[in-house]
Amino acid sequence: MKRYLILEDGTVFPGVGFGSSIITTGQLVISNNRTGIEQSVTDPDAEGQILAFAIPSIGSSGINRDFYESINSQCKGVVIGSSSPSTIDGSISFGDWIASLGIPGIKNVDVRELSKHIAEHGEMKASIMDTHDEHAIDQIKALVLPPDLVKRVSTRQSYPNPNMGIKIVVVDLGLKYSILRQLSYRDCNSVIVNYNATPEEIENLHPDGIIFSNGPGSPSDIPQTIKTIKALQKKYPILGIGLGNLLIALANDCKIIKLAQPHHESSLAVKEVASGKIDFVNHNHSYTIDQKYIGSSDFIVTNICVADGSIEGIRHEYLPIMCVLFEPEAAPGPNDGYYVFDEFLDLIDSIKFQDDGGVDQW
Amino acid sequence: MVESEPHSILVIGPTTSDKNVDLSTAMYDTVEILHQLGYKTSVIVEDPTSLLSSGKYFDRIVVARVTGEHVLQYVHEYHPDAILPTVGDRNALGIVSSLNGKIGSVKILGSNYMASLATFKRELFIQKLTESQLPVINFVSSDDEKEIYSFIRSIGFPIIARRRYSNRHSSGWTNINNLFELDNFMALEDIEDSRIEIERSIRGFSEYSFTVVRDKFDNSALIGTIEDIEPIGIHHLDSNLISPAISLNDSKLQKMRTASLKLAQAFDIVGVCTVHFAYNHKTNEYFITEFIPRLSEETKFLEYATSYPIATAVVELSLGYHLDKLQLDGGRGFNGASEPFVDHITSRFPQWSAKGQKYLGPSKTSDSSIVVNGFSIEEVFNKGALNDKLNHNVERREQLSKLDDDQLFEKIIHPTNWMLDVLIEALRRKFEMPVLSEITGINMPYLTVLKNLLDISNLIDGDEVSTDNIERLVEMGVKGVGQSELLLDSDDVVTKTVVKSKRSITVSNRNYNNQNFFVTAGIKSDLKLSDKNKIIVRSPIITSKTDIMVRQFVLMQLVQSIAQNGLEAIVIGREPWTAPLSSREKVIEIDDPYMEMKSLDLIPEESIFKVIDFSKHLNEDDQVDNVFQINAKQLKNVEMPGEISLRAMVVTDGNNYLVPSVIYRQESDGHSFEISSYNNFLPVADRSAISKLIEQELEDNNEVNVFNFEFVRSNDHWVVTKSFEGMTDDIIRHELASSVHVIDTLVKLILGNKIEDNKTLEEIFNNQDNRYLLTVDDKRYNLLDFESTKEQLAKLLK
Repeated sequence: MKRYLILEDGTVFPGVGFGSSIITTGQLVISNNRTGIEQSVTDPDAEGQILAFAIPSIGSSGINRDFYESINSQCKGVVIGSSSPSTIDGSISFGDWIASLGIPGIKNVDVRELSKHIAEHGEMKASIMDTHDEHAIDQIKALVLPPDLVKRVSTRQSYPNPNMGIKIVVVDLGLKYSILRQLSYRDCNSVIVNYNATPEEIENLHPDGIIFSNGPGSPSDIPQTIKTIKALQKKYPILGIGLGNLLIALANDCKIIKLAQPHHESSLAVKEVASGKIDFVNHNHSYTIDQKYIGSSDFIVTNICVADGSIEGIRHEYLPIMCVLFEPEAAPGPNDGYYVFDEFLDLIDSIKFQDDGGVDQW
Repeated sequence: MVESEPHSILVIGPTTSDKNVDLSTAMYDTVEILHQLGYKTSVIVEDPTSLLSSGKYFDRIVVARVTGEHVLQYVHEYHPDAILPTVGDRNALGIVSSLNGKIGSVKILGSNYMASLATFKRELFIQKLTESQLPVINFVSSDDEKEIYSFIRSIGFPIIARRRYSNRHSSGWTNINNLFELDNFMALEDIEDSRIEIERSIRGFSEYSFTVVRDKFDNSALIGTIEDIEPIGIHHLDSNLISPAISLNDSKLQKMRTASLKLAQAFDIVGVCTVHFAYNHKTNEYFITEFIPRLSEETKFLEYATSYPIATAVVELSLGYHLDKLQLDGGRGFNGASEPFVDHITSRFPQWSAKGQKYLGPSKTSDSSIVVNGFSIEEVFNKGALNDKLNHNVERREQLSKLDDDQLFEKIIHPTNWMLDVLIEALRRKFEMPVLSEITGINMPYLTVLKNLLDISNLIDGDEVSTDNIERLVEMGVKGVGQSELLLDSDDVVTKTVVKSKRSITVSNRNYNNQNFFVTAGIKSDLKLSDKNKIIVRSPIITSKTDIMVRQFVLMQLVQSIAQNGLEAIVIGREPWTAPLSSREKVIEIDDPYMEMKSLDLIPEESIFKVIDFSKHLNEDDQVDNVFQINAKQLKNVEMPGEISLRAMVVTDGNNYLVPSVIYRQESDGHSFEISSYNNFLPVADRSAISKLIEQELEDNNEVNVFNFEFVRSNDHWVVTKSFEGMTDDIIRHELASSVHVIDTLVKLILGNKIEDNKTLEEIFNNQDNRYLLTVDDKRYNLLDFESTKEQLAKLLK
């Protein structure tokens, strides 16, 4: 069935509908992920988004349930050029999988042209519809995307991810399972809490360290979490990932800006400033920290994106706080960034071995 | 230039063996960037025409057999600071591995002893991989029969075996499935100094190759992945290849990426390395089967597929540049720290010059290849392996349709180069896809694609094309063969035939804007043209290594000349042509497997100054006066014996002419000798006689053209025995040897310039070259100066 991807600015991309036939609207994001459609579609970061995949012949590699990043699909629609009708391992085809998740899709779209359009005009709202008249375009323009994306994806109840090692509290801003996989791999005994957990609730769990996870939307949507960070950052080693990083930066008087070209690519180079070492890691963010204000803050830049020079990692000069904007847990993408978890655990160890164990004296 | 790095570099060039991959563009890029970076570059090469340049980038060109002995001789005589083996194919690595301890402080760039040796010595390869905990197949190399049988008892059948000779050559792998076949293999003539190598057979596994670059600071990047459609057991270069590898999920991709990087690190490769994997998708077992620490067919293909300038990057990395601080021409920065993301598929389909079927196995049998691009597998199959214009698929399928089921099944079991057509015929007869996949080792997504294409061709045959299914047809790559018009005529289709860029779309390197495109489906073209007048160059299909070199050379000279003369060159061909890096952003190149560009109307007719066509037959709708056919058409062929002959290239404006290059040939004592730029030795009487003959031959010509004539000396007279309108394969030798650039002169004449009237014979035959190419028996080459050439001629004439 012929369907249309309609952008907020009135541009129309025709295609053929698949998956669910419902009408959908969301923030359109171009994904340059090479693999990992399962991870992308189930990534809580994709909440409220229509994902346009630029890779060709999507789905040949099959669908693997072990790659899910949350229980349910998160995105509101998918846009593709071509898909594979069958899979190498006999698993469900991409089209059938999308249908089974109840997600509307549109294929045969000129994703190259769509990517160029977004690169030129910036990220915008879009809709997958059956018609493309003026009324449809007005509808998209009028639609306000919900500002409570984190609330929608964050766990409502705390839950444990028990192991025998270091105790980590993970503040779920839209947590990907692969962060927990990495913690489990390192025997971390973690507890996952709601984004709105109070400092007291977190402290009552007696963590050795705290992670503020990745998540969808803009950091300005959740000011309460910034307050939590302020209350805890002098007491515990903290790792910020993605949205978590942005919130920590805001808690410390840094400014956040939108990237001219958003980073949605599973293998993009970052450079460690101190050593010059280059790693390829998964990026999935539209914001970064403004370079102009970093000098007057207590943070030093630890990682930059090689392609555009934007900040990808910071570290506090006096407190045990380290942050990355990229996704060290990969999923999808190269595993070059796993070292971030090791460094964080080393950081915790270095605090624990101090006589009084207090962060203030760190 | 990087401090404390070498200043003089010896490049080990290719041999003339047909088995070698053509790396002429990579060689050109390599020496050009070395020249730009200020290094003194020398080369040892067997055929100097393979350099594709007149030597302007070289400090010294040594024309000799490319052997360890000659390299060593050069090192002792000229003391280079470093040796670069990356463009010399496998032979150069063999040489490097033999130089250990013999060249003092001379550095090896791009590879090293250990890596080079490990590509030849399986034991070393396995030892090193095992130490690094990389997955490798069980293997034994022995001349002891007992040891061999004992090893096979431990791993069981099937196995593969080959004989390895002391000269580093080997017999090629043989599949052995049981004791009887093993006994037969062992009973084959035992050649002294040979060892037998046995490996567990991984036949039927899927094959992948990963190409990584690495700098000396241990930064690495995965440049691209390639997937073989045919399984292990069929030579990689006889397989249909797809890039990127679409059948790998994230876990498999990362597993092999990590292993590739680890291997490059284990062998400390600073440059490029292609790692081959065998992967069993049922068990998730995988092995590294080989690695190639140099430029290769894979790197050439990936440069087409991703537009990452691999050859240039490899030189700079080997010189110590940081991965993210590479340079393009003119000192422009290039961020090599990028893993190219492509939104399209590039495929390489092998080609055989013989029309018949060829059984496929572990040894390579194909003669050349065609590369195509598209946005779906259906599209690249349609453009490449199933493109009747390239492979005579209709004829193949007619023959296959006459087989009974048993005969067809035999073709499925024993793979030939017609495999995809065989499978389409099998699908037409409703053979089960999973069964076909199990027997052939070809994965299900590809069989489903073949089934889709079969259904589509049935629709088209039955004239059922309508707006209801045309969207599906477009997705399946139904473009060309008459269907494009349908797409153009319909307003209600999702996509139409357009032209898209081949550039990777990763956010890195947006300022590196190569102008390579392909015809495909979409809603909008990427092609943006300048206001300049254009010369369209329609490039030919390539079927042999010589053709590749001729095409590379002529196209390169043509486009450079067109640009220098203020016009825009647009090269359009059925398959891609990648210009040397320095021209890649200036020349528009469009792959057009079905030759649809004209009907797309994307290039305004009024901006086309001329079309230069390489084919022998013009298109039906060509305006003849606007098309210049550059390929040779034979006008005369007289068989006349004679010891001495001349071959002259003549350019004419239709009125006057020039003879910038004459090649002398003499048969003597069962050998042939050819000397280029013979103009400077041609006696006045002969000049006069030959020019008269040329004038007679050109009598009826009144247009700009290039002619090639052969003259044979008979009874003290010159006779025209052959004449060609257009360029012959001699063009490289004419052009390299002649100080007058024939192709540039031709372009100038096409643009309307004239040759002055009343030129003297000396001016007509003017050639100020001071180097002369001596070719013995059409395969051995030597570069001589004037005096040595004179001596050589005197010797010959005695």
